[in-house]
Amino acid sequence: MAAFVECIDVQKIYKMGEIQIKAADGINFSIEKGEFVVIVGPSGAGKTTVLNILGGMDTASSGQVIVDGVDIAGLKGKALTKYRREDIGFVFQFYNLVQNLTALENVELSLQICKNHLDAETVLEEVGLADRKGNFPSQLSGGEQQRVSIARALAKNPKLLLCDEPTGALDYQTGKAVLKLLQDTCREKKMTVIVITHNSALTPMADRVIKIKNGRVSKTWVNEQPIPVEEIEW
Amino acid sequence: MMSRGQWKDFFIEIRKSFSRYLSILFMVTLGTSFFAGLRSSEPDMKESLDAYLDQTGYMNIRVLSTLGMSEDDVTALGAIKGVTDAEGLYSVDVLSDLGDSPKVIHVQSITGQINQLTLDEGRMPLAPDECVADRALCDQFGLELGDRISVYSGKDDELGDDLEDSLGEDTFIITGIGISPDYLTIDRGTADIGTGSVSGFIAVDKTAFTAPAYTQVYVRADVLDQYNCFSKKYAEIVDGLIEDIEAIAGERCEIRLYEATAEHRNQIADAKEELAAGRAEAEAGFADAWAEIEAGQREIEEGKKALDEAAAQLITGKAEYEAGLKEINAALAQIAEGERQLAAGKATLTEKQQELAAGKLQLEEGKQQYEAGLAELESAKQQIEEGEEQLRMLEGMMAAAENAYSQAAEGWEKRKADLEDQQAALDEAKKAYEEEHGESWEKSLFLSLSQASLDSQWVTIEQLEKELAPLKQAMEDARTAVDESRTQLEDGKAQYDAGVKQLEEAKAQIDASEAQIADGEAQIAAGWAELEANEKQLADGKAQALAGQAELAKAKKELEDGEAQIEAGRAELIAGEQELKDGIAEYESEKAKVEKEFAKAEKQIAEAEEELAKIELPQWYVLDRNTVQNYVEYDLDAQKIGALAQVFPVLFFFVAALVSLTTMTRMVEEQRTLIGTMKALGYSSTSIAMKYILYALTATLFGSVLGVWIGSKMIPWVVITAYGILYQYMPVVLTPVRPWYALLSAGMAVFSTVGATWMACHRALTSQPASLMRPVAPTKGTRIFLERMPFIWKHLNFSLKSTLRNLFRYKKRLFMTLFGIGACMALLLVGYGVQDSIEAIVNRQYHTVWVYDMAVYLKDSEDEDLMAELDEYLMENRDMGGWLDVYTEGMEAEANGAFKSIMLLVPEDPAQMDDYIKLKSRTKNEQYALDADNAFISEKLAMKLSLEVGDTMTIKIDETKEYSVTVGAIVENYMQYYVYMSPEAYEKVFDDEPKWNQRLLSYGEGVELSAEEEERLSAEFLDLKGVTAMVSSSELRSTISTMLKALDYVVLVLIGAAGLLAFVVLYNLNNINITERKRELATIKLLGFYPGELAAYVYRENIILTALGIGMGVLLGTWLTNYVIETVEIDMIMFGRGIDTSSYIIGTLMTITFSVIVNVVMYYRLQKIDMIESLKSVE
Repeated sequence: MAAFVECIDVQKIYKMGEIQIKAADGINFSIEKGEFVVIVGPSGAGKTTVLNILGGMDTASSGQVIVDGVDIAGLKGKALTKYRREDIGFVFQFYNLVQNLTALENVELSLQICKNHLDAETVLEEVGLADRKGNFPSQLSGGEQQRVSIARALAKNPKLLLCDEPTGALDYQTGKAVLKLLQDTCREKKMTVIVITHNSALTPMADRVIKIKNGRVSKTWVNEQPIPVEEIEW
Repeated sequence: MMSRGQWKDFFIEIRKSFSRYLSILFMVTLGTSFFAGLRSSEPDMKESLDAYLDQTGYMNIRVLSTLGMSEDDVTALGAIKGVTDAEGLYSVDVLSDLGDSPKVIHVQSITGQINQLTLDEGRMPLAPDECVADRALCDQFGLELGDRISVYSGKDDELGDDLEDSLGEDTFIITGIGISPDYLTIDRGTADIGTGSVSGFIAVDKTAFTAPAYTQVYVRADVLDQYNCFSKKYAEIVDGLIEDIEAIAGERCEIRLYEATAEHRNQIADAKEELAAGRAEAEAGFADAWAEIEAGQREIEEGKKALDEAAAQLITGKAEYEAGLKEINAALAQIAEGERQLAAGKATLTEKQQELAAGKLQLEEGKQQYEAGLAELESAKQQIEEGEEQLRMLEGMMAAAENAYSQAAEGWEKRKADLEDQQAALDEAKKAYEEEHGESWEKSLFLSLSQASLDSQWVTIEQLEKELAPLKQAMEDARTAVDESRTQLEDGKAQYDAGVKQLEEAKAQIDASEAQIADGEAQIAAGWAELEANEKQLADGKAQALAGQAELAKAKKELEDGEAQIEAGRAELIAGEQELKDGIAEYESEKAKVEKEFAKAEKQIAEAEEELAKIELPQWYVLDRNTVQNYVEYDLDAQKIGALAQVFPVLFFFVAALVSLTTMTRMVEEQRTLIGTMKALGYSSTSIAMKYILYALTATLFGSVLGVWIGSKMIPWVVITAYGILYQYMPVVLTPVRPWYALLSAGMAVFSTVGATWMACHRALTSQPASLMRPVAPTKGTRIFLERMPFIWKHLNFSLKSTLRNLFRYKKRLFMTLFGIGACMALLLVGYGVQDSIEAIVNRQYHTVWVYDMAVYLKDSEDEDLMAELDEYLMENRDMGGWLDVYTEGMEAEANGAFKSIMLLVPEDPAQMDDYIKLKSRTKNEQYALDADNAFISEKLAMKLSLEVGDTMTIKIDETKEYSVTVGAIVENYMQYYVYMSPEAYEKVFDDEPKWNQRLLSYGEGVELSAEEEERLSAEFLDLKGVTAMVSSSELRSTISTMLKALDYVVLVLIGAAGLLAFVVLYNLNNINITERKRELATIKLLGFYPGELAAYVYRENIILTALGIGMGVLLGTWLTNYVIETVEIDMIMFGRGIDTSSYIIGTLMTITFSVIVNVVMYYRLQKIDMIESLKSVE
């Protein structure tokens, strides 16, 4: 069975004047469909570059990024945008909700551009925010905001859920709850979830762990028995 | 105050955010340029005029006197302290045939230093017959250097006011063409001759004038040149000078009176003497003439008398003749009657003779008959004797017969009587039997045998009876024959006797007739004799009568001759009388004429004396420039611009200040963290704030300098150039930068931007550094009021909901954008609106109000020949649709303390008015028809005189006569003040009949003629004697349109300003919008919005704001346009009210275009937003 997501020799080189900076220097990994993946590494290791490339926000300088059989490294402009709007769900560190829209409307905002989406209210119910759907972000706690953010991503029914430090701005308990939501989603919906974090304490909960260091994948392993997030302490 | 690092940061900041820097700079430029420019316009206008007037040495004061001014007066004025120069000016209004009709020309003497002419070409006159001609005059009538202008007096010749009294020349060669500071506009003032309005001036050398006194004296004080002539100081000095001049006026006037009246007095004395001599001479002549007339009169009287006598005689002769004639006629009638009777007598006699002859013949016949009668009688006598014989025989026969019969009858009767006795005895027996036996007698045989014997006897009797009858017959026949014969005989006897008697009678008759005839014959003979005697008598009478007739005829002839003679005599007499009458009439008329002449001379002398008496002490009028109309109008127009400058720039300033405020606030907010860091590092608040204040200050200062310079130069130039259309003879345009306005506008700009910056910094600087370092909480989302109306909100789509929330989320930006776009739209509307209003003057006036195509000025509508010629021409001309005669006259109207020069128009046929001039309301959809009582007045007149329908106004003619009239309707009209009246109303009000002096022509419905066709028409019209001039509507329209083209500058400036405003405001605000929402936009982009969708997310807000801004601009612009129009409106002209729909559309489209351009630029900014931004933490 071919991998659902596969990176082959992905390089990203920034040119700052005369200097070349290799943010990604030949990254290789593959992910199976429905896996809960944690990409972990210290700051500046190149996780964000991987995220950007996987999320269609940036293009690789060389190499292949195959998502569900399509090489997105070769996509440009509109095709890349199409990839973002239809195949990717994004969960941000700072939630990035539109302040002027209610929880429900924030979900709807992403749905209006997506063909194969789920019902916004149902998804909000699933993330446990049925009661708060009419509230503005400023009226919600951080965890609730992040749930809205996750709901926004999930409602699109994406192939891939990309989460950038989803707990970064949350306290311990809330962060745990959010991670649980993500893990449950992965299990229940067979959604491929990729969580990017610098916190290696989270690795036991993943199906697959990809460790990045200095622009390369330093180590990847598969947990045969992932531990539920409730049992993890950090 | 700032460290090197800070300075460096400051410069880098400017470079980095140069577009923001420029937006402040331009906003300030815009605000200050409008402020400084418009505020400078009024003083610039005034300064330009002042400079021109100083440059030409325009008089400060002019002195006029009721008796003119002498050279001594000029000297005296020059000697007044402060006066640097005084010069006398001769002037006279004359006529000259320029163009097609006499035009009034103002001839004035050239002055030295005061009121200098500005020559466009040529040179000043050197000889008395040379002149400098008015630029306007030359332009109007195509005059060039070297052309000659011939002039003549416009006054009535009888009054003796000849050209020679004022001018020594009557033809002038143009040696120069120029302008005079006396005239700034095309208006050259009025005159009391010709058409009443002056066409232009010519300036000639003083020596060309023969007038005894100066018309006026110009006075100048050079000290005044240093003040603006509209300034207070100037007015003060002038007032002082006027007082000084008035102080010497009394003395000067007395001297002047003595000088002026000397000649006058001598003239009167001479005239009186001349009159007396003439009168004496005339009286002698008349006495002689009268004597002659009297002699003639006597002669005629005598002739008349003789003639009357002859006439009396003639009358007697005539009567006699008439009597004679009557007599003779009677005699003749008698003779005729006699003759007739004679003829009748003759006829009677002849008839009698014939009758007599007939009688004789008859007599003879009668005699013969008598003889025959006698013979017959003889034979009759014989016959009678024979008859008597026969009778005796017959009587014998008869007696025999009678005897026979009587015997037979006697025997029968005896037998019969025996038988009857037997029968009777039997019957008795029978009866006795029957009584005895009781049975029938027949049973007795006896009886039966007796009876049978009796019966046989009865049969024999009967037979015997039958034998008697023939005997009786024979006896009777004989008797009859006897009777017959006897009767015949007796008849014959009687006949015979009658015949005898007859004959005897006839004999007597015959005898009588014979006697009668003899008598008749004798009578006839006597008649004849008488007749003959009568005949003779008649013949004599006739001869006599004929002789009398001849005599009468002769007398008649004589009478006729006499009559003819008398007629001739009488005719002669009448001729003589007529001659005499003529002589008298001649005498009378001659005498009257002479007397009239004397009377006239006397009257003249009296008048002259009266005039002399009337010449009072002259009075001086010391006038300053405020009595010069052009000068005052210019002042008013400048003030209008000043008024405009009060509102307009404020608009720009407001926008500029708001833009600066938002921009700087945003800048400070963006740099919170930096400020916090700086503060934390220990920099003082002032030195931190200094960066932002300097940023705003330098941008503002550069902008101010640019704005003040551009504004002060360009805007007054545009204004003065635009007014140059009106003040076309004001050549100076000064547009200095005015320090006060420069400082004021720059100061205001600095105050508002720096103030705004300080406020923004102040908030940040008073916060704790720690809180500054924390991200500012994003503006909270809130529900908007629309959400409280779910029935609406539910139906809105998602994007619209978010757009609406966003709009209200950034309220400051909302109002700024609304205001910016609104102002842009308003400015465009003002620009186009002003243009519309001005074009409306032309378009409406000539398309919907004055719909006639040409006005023809009539020379004299009462001259039938001229009018017939014109009518005929118009009838034959296929281009003519119709015409209407009207009466127009300039008058003055007064109401509510205000007065205006009006034009009165009376149409000959008010019913036709609608085809030439539409009388309708501008605001209401109403048409009016002139009525018989009221006057209809034009809208602006109603406005200026505060009149409403039903009010009364006063119309003045010649300042003396006043009439009041009621306002019947207020009608649309844009040029001049018009009053329309029907002929009936005119007669009622003025008690006079209108005299048609104009004819309005229409080419017909929808007919337009080309310029060439109209030119041909004009030329043909001028060939008609009855037409003095004509004006074509389309030509006038295009002339005015060309003039108004200059106003396009104003519109262009406004459009430019509006565009600039729109760009600066929209760019700035969009910029801020995008910057503020960068994170949100990046997230949305990341969520997979296509570039178009992302742009639409932002544009929806802009579209709504633009639409709302346009709506606001429409309101603001409409109000502002009305304000501007009412402020700048010129006297006599009403600008159109209201803005055309097309202008609203163009304004909207342009605003949308500006907005679209800015948004297109913004599109690229949006595309540049980095999605990675969304991943970053909030700063």
